Amino acid sequence: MTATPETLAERYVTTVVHHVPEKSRADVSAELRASIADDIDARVAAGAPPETAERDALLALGDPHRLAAEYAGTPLHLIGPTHFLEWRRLTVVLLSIVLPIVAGAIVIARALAGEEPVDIVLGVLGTAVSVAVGIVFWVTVVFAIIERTPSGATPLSRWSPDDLPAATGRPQVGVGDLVGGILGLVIIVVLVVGQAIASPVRDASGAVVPVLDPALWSWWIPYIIVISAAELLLVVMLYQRRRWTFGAAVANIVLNVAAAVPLVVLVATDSVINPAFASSFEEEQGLIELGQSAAVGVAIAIAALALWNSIEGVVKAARARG
Amino acid sequence: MTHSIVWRMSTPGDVDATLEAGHFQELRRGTVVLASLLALRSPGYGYALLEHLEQAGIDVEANTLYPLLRRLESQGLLTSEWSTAEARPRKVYRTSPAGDALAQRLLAESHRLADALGRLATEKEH
Repeated sequence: MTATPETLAERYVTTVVHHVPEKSRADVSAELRASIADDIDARVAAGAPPETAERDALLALGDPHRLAAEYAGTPLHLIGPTHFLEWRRLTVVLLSIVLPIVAGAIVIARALAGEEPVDIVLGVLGTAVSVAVGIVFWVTVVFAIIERTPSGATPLSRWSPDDLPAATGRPQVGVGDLVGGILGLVIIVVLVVGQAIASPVRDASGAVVPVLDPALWSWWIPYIIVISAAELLLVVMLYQRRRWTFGAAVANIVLNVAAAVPLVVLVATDSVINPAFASSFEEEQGLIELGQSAAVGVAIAIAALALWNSIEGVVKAARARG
Repeated sequence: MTHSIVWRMSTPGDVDATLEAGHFQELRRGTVVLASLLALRSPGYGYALLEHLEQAGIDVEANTLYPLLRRLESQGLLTSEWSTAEARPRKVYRTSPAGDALAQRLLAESHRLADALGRLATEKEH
């Protein structure tokens, strides 16, 4: 308990230095105290009553938190002009990739569980909102921290004229490519999950026999999903630029090779189909032979699609350069 | 809308008061550093400098000036020491040699800008 009530000036100084780095706290508070006292003296000398003089002196200094931020050199904004565009770009890209995937996965899982369409839509909406809020929140937190680090004064990436979208003619990459890319990933996830849950074949105990070899889950299925997600990321970046670049064409070739080579090898070595699933067709020899020739066809188709897609990227990049 | 059109027609060349204040503030920004470096070639403390600048015709808020002095000190453009000569201990700042050299270059730049603006202004009259 203090005998005398604290003055407004003392409360003001305490509030300011509370937010100032510890090493300069004593110095700032002594200097600020003297400056306020000087101002009060000058106002009293000019004829103001002491209480009014103190209030006016503090009013002239303004919000103590603003003054503290000026002393400490901390920004008075969450994300400033240096990082705002990067923050917006990353938020938009993440939302446009993650939300469709999450929504697609929920629709599949709930549809397979046999839920009513109304419940599925409500479930998708609820989860999509919370996922969107989470993405925006965490991206903002990361950028707010970057803004307050010593390296935060410069943008994270340098802008280049190559980033400019095409001004005339039809864009090379349109909404169709974007929707196609998202649908492609959703379809892969649907097929991979669906074959395991809703295969038409049951074993003796009535359990579902997956179409794909369960051994693939340990490595190849996650690998293919990751490659597909990377391809979708590439499509989103291309969509933002509206045209191809040689860098994007090279990345496209790398992704195509990374996806097609393992797929072709797996199909050619007969490692894709679950042996338990295949053995359920033992009595129907014709079906098995059909399946074997189909495997060769699938392998050729995968290789051809990857080749076609790779060439398309290079040709469009060359055309974009003019 | 009609009112504003009538008003604009009656006073051509007039600019909205807040817009004008913003342009003035933009033009004056940066002069406070130069003014402080010049004024503190003779030592002074925060409140005294505030009054000194005001009398000299440089408008600056206390909550801008006080943190600015500490920033200039940390950049080595000002030096400081605590004066206990009077009843109230005060932090007295003085422009360092580096600060003085910078002040001379900034002053030359402000003269160059004033000359350039003066030339542009007379150009327009012809």
